[in-house]
Amino acid sequence: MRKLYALAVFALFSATNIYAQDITVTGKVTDSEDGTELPGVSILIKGTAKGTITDFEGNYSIDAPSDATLVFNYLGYEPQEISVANQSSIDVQMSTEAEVLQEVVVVGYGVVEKGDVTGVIKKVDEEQFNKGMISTPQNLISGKVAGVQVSGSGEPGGNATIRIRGATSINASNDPLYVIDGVPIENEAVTGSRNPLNFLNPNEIADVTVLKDASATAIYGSRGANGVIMITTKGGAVREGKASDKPIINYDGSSSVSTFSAETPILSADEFRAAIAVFDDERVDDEAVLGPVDTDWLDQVTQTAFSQQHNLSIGSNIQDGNYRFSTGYQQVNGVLNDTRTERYNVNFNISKGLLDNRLNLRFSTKNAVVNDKFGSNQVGAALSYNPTQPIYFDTSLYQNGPPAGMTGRFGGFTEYNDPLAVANPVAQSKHQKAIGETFRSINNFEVNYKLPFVPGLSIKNNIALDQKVTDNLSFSPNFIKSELRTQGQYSFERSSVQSFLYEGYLNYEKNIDAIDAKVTAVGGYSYQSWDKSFGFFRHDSLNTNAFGLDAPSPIPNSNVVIGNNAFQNRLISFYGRFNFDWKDKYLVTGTLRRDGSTRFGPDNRWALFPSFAAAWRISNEDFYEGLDRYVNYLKLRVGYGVTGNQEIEDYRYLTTYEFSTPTGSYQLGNQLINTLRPTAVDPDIKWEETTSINVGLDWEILKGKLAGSFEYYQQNTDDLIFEVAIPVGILPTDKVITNIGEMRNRGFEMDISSPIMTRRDFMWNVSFNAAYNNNEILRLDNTVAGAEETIYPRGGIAGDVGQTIQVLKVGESINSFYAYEQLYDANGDPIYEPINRTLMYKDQNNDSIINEKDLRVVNNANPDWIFGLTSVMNYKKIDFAFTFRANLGNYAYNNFSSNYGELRRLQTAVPQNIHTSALETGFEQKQILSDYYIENASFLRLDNVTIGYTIDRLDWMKARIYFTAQNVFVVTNYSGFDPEIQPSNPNDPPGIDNNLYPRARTFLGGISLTF
Amino acid sequence: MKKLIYTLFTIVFFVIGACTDLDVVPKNRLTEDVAFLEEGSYTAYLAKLYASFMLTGQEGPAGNADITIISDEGFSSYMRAYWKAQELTTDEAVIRWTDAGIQDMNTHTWSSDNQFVRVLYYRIFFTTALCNDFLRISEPSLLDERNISPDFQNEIAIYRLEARFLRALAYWHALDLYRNVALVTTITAELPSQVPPQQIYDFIISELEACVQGLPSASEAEYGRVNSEAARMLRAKVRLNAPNYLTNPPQSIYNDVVNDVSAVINSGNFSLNPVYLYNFNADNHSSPEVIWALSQDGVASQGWGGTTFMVRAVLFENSMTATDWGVVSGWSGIRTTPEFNSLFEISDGVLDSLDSRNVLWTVDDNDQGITPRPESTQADILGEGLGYLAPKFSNISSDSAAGANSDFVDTDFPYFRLADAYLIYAEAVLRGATNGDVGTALGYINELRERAYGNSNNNITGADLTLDFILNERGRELYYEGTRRIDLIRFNKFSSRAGAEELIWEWKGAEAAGKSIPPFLEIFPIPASDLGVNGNFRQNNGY
Repeated sequence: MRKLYALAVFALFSATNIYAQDITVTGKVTDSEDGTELPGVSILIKGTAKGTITDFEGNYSIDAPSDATLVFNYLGYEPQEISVANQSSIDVQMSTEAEVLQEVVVVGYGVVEKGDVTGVIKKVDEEQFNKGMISTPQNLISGKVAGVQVSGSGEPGGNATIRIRGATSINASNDPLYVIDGVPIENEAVTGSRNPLNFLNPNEIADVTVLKDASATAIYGSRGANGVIMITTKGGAVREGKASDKPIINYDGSSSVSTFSAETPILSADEFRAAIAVFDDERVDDEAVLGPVDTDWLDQVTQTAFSQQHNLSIGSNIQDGNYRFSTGYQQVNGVLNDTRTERYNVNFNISKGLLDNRLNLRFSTKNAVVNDKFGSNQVGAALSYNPTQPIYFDTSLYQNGPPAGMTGRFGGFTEYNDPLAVANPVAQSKHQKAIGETFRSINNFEVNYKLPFVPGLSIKNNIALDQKVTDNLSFSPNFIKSELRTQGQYSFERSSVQSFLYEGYLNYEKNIDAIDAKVTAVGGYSYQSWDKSFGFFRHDSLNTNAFGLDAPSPIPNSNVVIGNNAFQNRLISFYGRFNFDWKDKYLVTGTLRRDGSTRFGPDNRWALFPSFAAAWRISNEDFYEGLDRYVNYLKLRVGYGVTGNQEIEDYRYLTTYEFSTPTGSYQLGNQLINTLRPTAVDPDIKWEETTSINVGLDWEILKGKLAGSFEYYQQNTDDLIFEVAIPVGILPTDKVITNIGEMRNRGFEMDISSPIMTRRDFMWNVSFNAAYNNNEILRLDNTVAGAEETIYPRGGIAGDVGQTIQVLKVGESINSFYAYEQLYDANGDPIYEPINRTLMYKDQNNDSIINEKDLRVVNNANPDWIFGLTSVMNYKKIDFAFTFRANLGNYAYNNFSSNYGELRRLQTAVPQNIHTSALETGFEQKQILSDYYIENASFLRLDNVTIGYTIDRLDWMKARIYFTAQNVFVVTNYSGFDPEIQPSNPNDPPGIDNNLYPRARTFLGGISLTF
Repeated sequence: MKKLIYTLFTIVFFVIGACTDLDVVPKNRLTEDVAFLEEGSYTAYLAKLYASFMLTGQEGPAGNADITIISDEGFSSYMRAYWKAQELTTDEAVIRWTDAGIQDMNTHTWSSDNQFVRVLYYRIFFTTALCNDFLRISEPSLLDERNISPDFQNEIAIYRLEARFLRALAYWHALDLYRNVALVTTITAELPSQVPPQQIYDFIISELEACVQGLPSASEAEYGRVNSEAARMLRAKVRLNAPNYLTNPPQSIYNDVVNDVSAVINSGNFSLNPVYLYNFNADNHSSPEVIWALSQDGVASQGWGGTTFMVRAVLFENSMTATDWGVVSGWSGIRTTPEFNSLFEISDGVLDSLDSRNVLWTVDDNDQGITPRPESTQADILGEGLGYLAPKFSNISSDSAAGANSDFVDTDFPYFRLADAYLIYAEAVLRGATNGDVGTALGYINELRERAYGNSNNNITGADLTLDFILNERGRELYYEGTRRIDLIRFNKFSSRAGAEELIWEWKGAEAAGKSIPPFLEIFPIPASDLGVNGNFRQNNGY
């Protein structure tokens, strides 16, 4: 990879045409220190793609123009350029690279050489990205970076959340800050859009850099607590070393097929008949209970989904600059009927240097339209519906005529009359419509000017406008069963966000040769504002269904609800960074950011976020000489920093009054009056503050054959923003959002990568990462001495009204499950004794009563360990890559099993299918708080396998064809659909399995053409 | 020169951007300064004080909830939670749902973590603080500043008395159910401390004195708004129960009680509704018997608590046709106990079908009729098939039309009605009031019985008029109106308190047959969540 980089750089700066005559040059390449012969050294004629490599003895032979320059490249060694100058024999001694890690990485407001990094920063290049039908940028780096957990749903374009080093907050957001080409972007989820980042075509991303520790993220101050993801999009034309004044055109297209085949733990039609015979034998002859057919309802609401994507780009280098234009189309269909995401992209960027490259201008525009079809998730209904009933109500199927209580009047679908009975999932799936349409455009203009009077000083301005409009429409016709009472429904919602950004900063660089030191400093100002509005109207009685979503027709005097909400907030900041590098051995970085946010009251608006980091390149020390034989690179880093979190609703510091909707009025006299209510707040609410320390070690052994890093960190989040109960009576509320409590994440991370093979026709890179994290709540509440310990239930579950399965408790992790301890009989089966529950659940406090006081913490949803393994192999023209991911120690609550795992469902007036767990547990009534349902959801997943073949025989075109399989297999003991569980709302706690969107297995074939 | 221009240009550009203004005013909500310039806002806020007893948030039926201490908004309705506390703990009602903690209400096994204990507590103090805030923003001095017209200022003066009434009502609930609570009458940041029950009691009585004096009488007040008779009713009920709250209350309270209820009865504003059940149906706002009701409207005033709960939770889906009660379906939740049924027994196992107040149903394999009480089994209460239920509230109006919406009822909750005044009068006289007489009391009781039976055949004699009879008659007349727990405690039949004649009913004390419970259960625990944030508070004894 590094070789490619070097090639690219050389290619870029040379555009020499070659007229001289060819001669044959031969020679031997050896190590300058010990004289060993170096095999596999690449030799390239500068300015061309022509080259060769050394053989096992280090010998080479190449035909080159007599005035050519040869470029010698070998991993871990300094590249060398040697003019042929009519010599026919050139022997070369190559010396080990002094600065092994030359790569440049982006950090906030600037770039640094990788070797100069003091914080914990990990860059993932395009080559390392996950491949396949990927519609969300987050999924590109899944499994690639230690301590970065990417979890997504199976939905097409479904939201993917990134958690860096665990969660730092409870109520405020845990999402990292996304910075795209220097623009921090708005990332709030809205209805109608599955994933706020879906506007960005993953194909347009050049690299993703993850800033993990506070010393790196503190420059983003109040938004840095959850880490920062810096995304750089592609610009210009840099393609596999091809020089390019002439435009490079690239086309990439693929299509895929996704299938879903999970074992569904419900009764088949035959099993259902057998179960009714046992548990409700009086009704075996009732055809409403046991119907005439076998229907696999899940099969009826799922599909084999075909998807496709096409990307086209044109890019070129121009004098002192480059440009790139790209357009893309992607359509991903889900395995659930009628679910889809579709994206159209048009992006353009150009950069140009003026005044001898002193003034650099860059303009970039990224535009996308994303159309989402949400379908109607009928998985729950499909698993519930009587498997012996037909989809369409055909009376001739029934021996005794149409059974009582059933009907086909809703469009001919089989339905039970009972209003509480589950509606026919196929009918719902076919007739309910929900779509989202999002338009997003981010435009930014950068000006970088190297000031003429002070050498090393430059000034940079960045202006950006980010606009997003999302429409969310839904429609149900008036004839389907679920709409029987409301006679159809229609709703239209529009949310729009406009964000304006201005950044201006000065950059100063100076080498102080007298003391062999280098100083860089950055200082700047930033202003970002957001204007948001959310308007909607809904009505629930349709005149006709004919026009569906597009032209709804409400009946006269029907109930129409309208509303609009507008918000505004600003963030104003001053920031600075100072780097000092002494003798290439000692590196120091300090940053400071002062943020002012409209989300807090006048006394708490401004906050200061400092950080400090130092690094010591041990391997550059004189005393280290000789030791580099074993460990050829060693760098120790320590960092400390304070970051913040301000992701809460606007105006939480200000008491405001709001009116009720018309359905929430109250009658006084003969008048119905919209009520007015205050929203009680804590006027003193302030930023969450995360203080973290990090100790890291970068190392390389075996001359770079094995490299890696090791990190230890501890981060304490104080003033946790949390909605907490107040002492009653003082304010008109029960809870306020305020700062209370503290929690800690600590853990360690390890990255190892190895270029196992670096031969010209066989390259093999393997990288592995592992991370361990432990989360603990240290303090909750402003607990006064002598007060009782408070716990906060959270994590709502399906199957009962208002039940929760998780808890916040001091000393426990934030996503701890809180359940009764199930007792088991001699056979290991759960005991069912609903009347005398002390026989069924452990009486933890021995008071002979089973109540809330007997709930206890049972594991938690956070993985202890996260692993990722990526292998990339190139053999001649074949490339082969795969990615494994694993989580260990994460538990999940199987809400599907607990909600459907009761025998009573068979016995209700309208029988429903049951989860097979009921046969094991014998639970007549559901026992949703039993720890029986808390399962270990550790897993190993082969995420991705790609094999490709490159055809480069033609001068004018290079092609690569490839095949990818996604979600190839998963190894787990978890009994649900999938051990990786994505809450439907990203702010809901993880680990509760009640959002049943099946995860598909996808096979994809594609072609990439470069002209 | 060119360089200089570029440099200047860049620097100017840089400076222009530098703004540090962070004053952003909310666009979608009103600040206090803006909201209360308009007269209508005071009325809207007053409506909220009332709505706090029935509705759960700013969007009907659910959404933008007032309190979120319980995760399901429907459970956060004041009257729903209050009803459960006063009824599920007694022989009148048991609930067969299995929501965590709800069975504890049937079986007297609640802890300080119980979510039903918790939600009522927070709802009460949400309402008191809401009233405090209303009184704060409607201070006469502020009204002048905002140029509110003198006429409307006079109207606001009445609003303020209504707010004080509602706050006193909520404090009575706090005193009755949680006993050792703080008295907070302003918006404050100070950590409250518990005060002696006497202090809460005195506060309520003195606030109600102002209400009795200042509020218009029912003939002048708008429907749904409290009137001076409602203030008298509340004061009478608080005083009648004073022995539960105070150590050695003076005997004179009974005279005060008789004074108040006599004033209500003799006001001429109320009369018994000839049809008992018309007090609990969709057009009960027109019942002449209702002194003050909390209103609900199926279209404009929707919620999952309040009277919608009282109608629907009692209807059993498998055995009743819910539309007969004007709603789309029943919630199959609430039953009564066999012990309560015995109040309507004329002989062993035979219910009195002549008493029109008896609407008991046996849910016995879809047999829809009043049948003798079968043998009691566990299944009676917790099982699916068997048991008794009392569908007293309905969403059908007196002309047999269903309410406007079959999901949410039009039925108002009659908080005080004349029948209660009659019963209180009789009880106060029996407890020694010297300003009333037994003859009048007997007349009032027989009026109730004649209304119930349609004739005087079942009238009682003076010898029948005992305190025990009053308790039983209160059960027959006022069941499911949220008063049973208070009554049982006042008559010393709830727990094993000294001198008690404790009643036992099925599932009392977590035994199928029922068992005695200790006296500390007469009040609820202070929720652990409040103790967790208020170090000044101590838990009630026994918990």
